[in-house]
Amino acid sequence: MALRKVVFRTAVPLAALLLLLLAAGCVAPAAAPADTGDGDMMETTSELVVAVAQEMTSLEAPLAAAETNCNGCLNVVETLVTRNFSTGEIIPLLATEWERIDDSTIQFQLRQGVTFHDGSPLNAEAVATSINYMFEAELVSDLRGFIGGELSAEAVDEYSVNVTAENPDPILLEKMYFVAITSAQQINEEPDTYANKLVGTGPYMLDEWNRGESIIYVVNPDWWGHDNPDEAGGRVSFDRLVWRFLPEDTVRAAAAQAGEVDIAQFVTPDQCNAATGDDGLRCASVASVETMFARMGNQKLFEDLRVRKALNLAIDKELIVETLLGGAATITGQIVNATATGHNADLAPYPYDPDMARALLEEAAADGVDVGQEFTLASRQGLHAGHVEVIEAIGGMLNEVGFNAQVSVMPPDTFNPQFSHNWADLEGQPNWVAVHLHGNEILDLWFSYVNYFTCGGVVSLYCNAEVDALWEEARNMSGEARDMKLQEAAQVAYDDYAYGLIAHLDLAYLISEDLNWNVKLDHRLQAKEMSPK
Amino acid sequence: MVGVEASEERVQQVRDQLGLNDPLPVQYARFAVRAVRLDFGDSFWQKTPTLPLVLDRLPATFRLTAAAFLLAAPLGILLGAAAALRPHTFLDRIINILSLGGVSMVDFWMALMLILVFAVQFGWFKTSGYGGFAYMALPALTLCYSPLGRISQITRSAMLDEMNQPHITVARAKGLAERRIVFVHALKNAAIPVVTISGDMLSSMLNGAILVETVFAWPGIGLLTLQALQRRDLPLVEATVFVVACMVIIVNLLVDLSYVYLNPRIRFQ
Amino acid sequence: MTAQTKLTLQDEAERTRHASRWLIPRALLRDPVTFIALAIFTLILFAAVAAELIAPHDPLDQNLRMRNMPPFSPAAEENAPRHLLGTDPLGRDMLSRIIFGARVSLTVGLSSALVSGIIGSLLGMIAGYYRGPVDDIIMRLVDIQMSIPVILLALLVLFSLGPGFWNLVVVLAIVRWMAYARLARGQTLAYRNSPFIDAAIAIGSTNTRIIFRHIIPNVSSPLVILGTLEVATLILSEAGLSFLGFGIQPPEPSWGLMIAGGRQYIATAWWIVAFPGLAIFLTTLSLNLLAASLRAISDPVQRERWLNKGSSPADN
Repeated sequence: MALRKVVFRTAVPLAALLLLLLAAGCVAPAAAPADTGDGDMMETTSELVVAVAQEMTSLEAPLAAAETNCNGCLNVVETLVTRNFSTGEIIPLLATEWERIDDSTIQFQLRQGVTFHDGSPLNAEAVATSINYMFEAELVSDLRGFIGGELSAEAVDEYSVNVTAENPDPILLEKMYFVAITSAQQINEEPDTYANKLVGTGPYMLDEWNRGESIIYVVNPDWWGHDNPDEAGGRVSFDRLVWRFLPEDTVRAAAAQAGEVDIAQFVTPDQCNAATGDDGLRCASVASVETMFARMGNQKLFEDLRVRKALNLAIDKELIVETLLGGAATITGQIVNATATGHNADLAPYPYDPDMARALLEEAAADGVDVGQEFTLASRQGLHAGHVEVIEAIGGMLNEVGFNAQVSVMPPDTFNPQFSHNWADLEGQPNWVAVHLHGNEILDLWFSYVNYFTCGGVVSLYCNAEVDALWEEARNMSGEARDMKLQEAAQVAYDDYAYGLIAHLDLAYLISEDLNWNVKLDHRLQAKEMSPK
Repeated sequence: MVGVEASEERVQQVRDQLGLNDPLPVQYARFAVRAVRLDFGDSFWQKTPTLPLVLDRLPATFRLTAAAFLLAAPLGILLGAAAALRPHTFLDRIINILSLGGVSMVDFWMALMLILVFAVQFGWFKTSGYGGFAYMALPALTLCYSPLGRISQITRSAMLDEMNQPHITVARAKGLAERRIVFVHALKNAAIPVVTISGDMLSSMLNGAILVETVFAWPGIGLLTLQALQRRDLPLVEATVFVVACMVIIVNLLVDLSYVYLNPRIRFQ
Repeated sequence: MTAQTKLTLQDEAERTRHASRWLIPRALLRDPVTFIALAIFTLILFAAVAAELIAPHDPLDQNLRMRNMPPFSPAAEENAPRHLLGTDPLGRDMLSRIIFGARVSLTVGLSSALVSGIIGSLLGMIAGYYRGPVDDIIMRLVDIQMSIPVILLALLVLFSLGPGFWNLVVVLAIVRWMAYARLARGQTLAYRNSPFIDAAIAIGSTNTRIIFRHIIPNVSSPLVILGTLEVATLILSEAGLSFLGFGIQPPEPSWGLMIAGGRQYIATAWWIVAFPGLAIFLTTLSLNLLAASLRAISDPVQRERWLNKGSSPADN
C-alpha cells in the first residue's frame, strides 16, 4: 500500500519546513536583543555579565544601601564616604574630609568638579536635597532599618554640608556609607522618574532596565574617578555592565559553567565545589555580615530559660556547617561577627549537648511547661542558597530532643508580616520559631541591638531592663568605652539565651577565571574593583 | 539583605494606604469599578501602573508560546496521522509511547535535564535568558512536548474514526490518490476535534509557561505572575490574571470561528 | 439521532455492563502494555498503602554525615538495609521517601480527582438533565473558569488560603471540576430524551431517582476514564505547585518537592532529582495507558478490535 510512502513523502518536507519556520520565527524578531547577554562578547566590547539572584523592585536611591535590593546600583550612585575593609576605616569618596560639629551633626567637605549624569553639578545644595528627599518623601525603604532613624542635611556653603541625625549618634559617619547621593535636578524637575531612573555620579550610567530580564549600565565618560583611580577606589575596565536576573540557583550556576556570565552570585557550597577545577571557573566563598539565628516567638514555651537553652543545645551547629554549608560558615554565639564593635571574644558558641537539652526539657515539663506543644519552625524563601535544608535539619534536631517543630518555608511577603513582632505583641499569635539572617552592615552591635535586644525594638523578642540600661549608656559612647559597654550587654543576653544562634555565613560566587575580583565583606558588586585578566 | 526590620507599623501604614484593611466587599467593589476602567492600580512591588507592566511582558510570552505551538501542532498532527494510518503497528506503538510520554512528563524536570545536557554539557543552546534561537530552543522544546503528545493522540483517534467512514471508501473506490484521500478528505473531517484540542493546548501552554519561564528566567507573563504572587502584589496579580484570561478567550474565539470554516453545516445554519 | 439508535445505545450500554465483568480483566491481561501499566500502578498503590511496612528506613530520619550518598550505599548502622536509591541532601533514604511520597502524591491525586469528579459530574448531569437556565448558569461558570489557566487559578487560591496538604487537595478539586461537568452534560444530553427516560417519567419516577437510577449508570464509564486521566494530571499539578513553593511543604516527602529541593544537585547527585522524576513519570504514564485501555474496552467497536487483534477494520 502506498500509505507509508504518502506519510513519509509528506512528513520529511513538512518537518524541514517546520524547523525553518521555527528558526526564522525565533531569529528574525530577536535580532536586536540577541546580542545583549553574550558572555563570549566580552573580549571585543569589554562587557561584564553578572547573574544575580533577585531583581530589584525599584531604582529608588535608598535601596542602594544593600546590593540585593538594588543590583549594581553602586556603580551608578556614590556615597559621601566608603569603608576600607582591610583596615575597617571610613575613607573619603564624594566627601574629601569631615568634621564632627556636635553629638548629632557632621560637616562634610565635598569633592569639587564632580557632575551627575544629567550634567548638574555636585554641590552642598544638591547633597542636602538628595538626602532630605529620601526621608521626606516617605519612601518605603530599608534605609531606615539600616540607619535606625531619620537624617536631615543642610548646605552651609557651596561645598560644605551638615548632616544631622535625630538623636545624638556616635556612629553617624559609619551610617553615611549607606546613603547614596542622586541628582537634585532630577528631584526638583522630574520627581516622577525617581523610582525608575537612577541618576548619580558613579562610573557607570543607567542604560536600560528590562524588567524581569536584565539591567544594563554603560560607562560614564565624565566620571571624576577616571583621573583619580586611587581616591575613587578603582578604575573602569568595562564598557558595559549587564546584570541578569536568574532566580533559579541551578540556572545561575549553569550559566556560569556555560560561560554565559562572568559572575554567578550566591551559589551553594556544593555548586561551588562542583564547578571549581573545570570550565575556567573559580569559586569565591567569602565571609559576610550575615548571621543566621532563630527568634523564639512563643512566650508560653520560650519564656522559660531552660527551654531557650535546650533549643540552643539541641542544634548541632558544627555538623550543619561542616556538611550542609560545606564549611562556608562560622558557628557563633553572638549576632555580630568579629569585625563589629561590641563583638565579645569570650562568648563561645553554645555547645551541642542533646542529652542536656533533653534533661532541661524534662525538667521544664515537670514544672508544668507544655514542652511538647507544636510550633512552626519558619523561614523565608530565598533566604540564601540552600537554606531550606538547614531549616529542615534544625527541625529534625529539635524534634530529636523532644520539641515538636513543623518546618515551613514561606514566601517573603507571607513570612515578613507574620514574624515581624515585638515581644509585647505576641499575645494571640500562633506558636513559632523563625530562622532569620541578620546583616550588621554598620559593623556595630548597636545596629543589631536597637532592633533585636531592646524592650522597644521593632522585632525584639527580648526585654531585659539590665540590658536596656547598658545599651542606653553605650549609645552615646564611642571608641573603646563603647566597645566594652556593648560587650557587657552582649554577655547578659548570651547568658539569658535570648536567641537561638547558629552561624555567620559566607556567601559564594562562581567567577570566571578571566576576571580579577576580590569580594569584600559587604559583598557589593562594584565593577571599578574588577578587571579582566 | 532584606531584613525583618521592616516594622509592623510600616506594614500597617502601607495596608491603610492601599485600603487593605477595609471589609472585603468594599475592597471587591472598588476592584470591580477599577477593573471595568482597566485600571488595576499601581503595583505594590514596582510602584507603577500594573497593566503596562503586564503588557510589556506579553511579547516574550507570545513568542515562546508561538514557537512551542508551531512545533507542537503540525508535528502532533503529523505523528497522529501517521499512527492512524498504520494502527497497531510498531510505528503506532512508538508514536503512542512518545505522545503518552509527553502527557506524563514533569515539565520542570525536563527543563532542568535539557539545561544540563544541551546547555552545560554540549553548549549548543543558552541556559537561560531572553533572546533569539539559542535562548528560545530549550524553553520552547520543554513547553511543546506535552501539547504535542495530546494533539497527536487526538489526531490519531479522530483519523481512525474518519478512515472508517463510508465517504473514504467511496473516495478510494473512485480511485483518488491516497495522498489526497488522507490529507484532504480524512484530515479535513478529523480537523474539528484536532482544532479544539489545539485551542485547549494553546491555553494550557500558559500553565506551562509559569513553570518554564521560571526555570529559564524568560521574562514573560508567567514569570511575572509568579513573582507577583510571591510578593503578594495583589494589583499586579489581578492584572496578570485579567490579561491571561483575555488571551484564553481570544484563543477560544478563534477556535469557534475555525469551526465555521471547517464544518459547512455550521456555516449554512 | 433517532430513537432507534438511542435504543441500541442503551442496549449496548447494558450489554457492556454485563459483559465487562469478565471482559475487562481478560482484556487487560491480554495486552502486555496494559498489563505492565496495571502492574506498575498496583505496585505504586501498594507502596502508598503499605508504606510503613515496606519502606526500609524512616523517611524523616536525617543523618547529615550520610548526605548525597549514591545508590546502593551501605547504611550508617550495622544491620540496616542499604540505601538502594541513595540518600538525599539531608541523608534521608531516597527509596523510603519515594515510597512515602507515593502516599502523598496518590492521596492528593485520588482525593482531588474524586471530589472534583463528584462535583463536576453532578453539576454536568443537572445541567444536561434540566436544561434551561440551570444549564446556562452552570455552563457559563464552566466557561469562565476555563478561561483562567489551571495552575494560575490554583496559585491564586493557594495564595489566599496558604500552602498545605489539605488546602492543596481542595484547590485542585476546585480547579479541575469543569472537564467532568462538560463531559457529564454531553452524555446526559444524549440520554435525556431516550425512551427509557420517558418511560421512567411516565411511571412517575422523581427527577432525583431518574438521575441516580438511570443517568448515572449510563454516563459513568466515560467519567471514570476521564477520572483516571485526571489523577495523572493532578499528580503533575501537585508536583508543579510544590516545585513553585505553593504546594506540599517540607519535610513532607512529596515527589514534586523532592525534585524542587534536589534541583541544585542535578549535576552532582543525579539520583536526588532523577528518581522522584521517574516515579512521577511512571505513575502518570501507567495511568494514561490504563485510561487508553479502559477507553478501548468501553467502546464496543474498539473492544472487538482489541480482543481479536489482527482483524482490525482500520487495517483493511
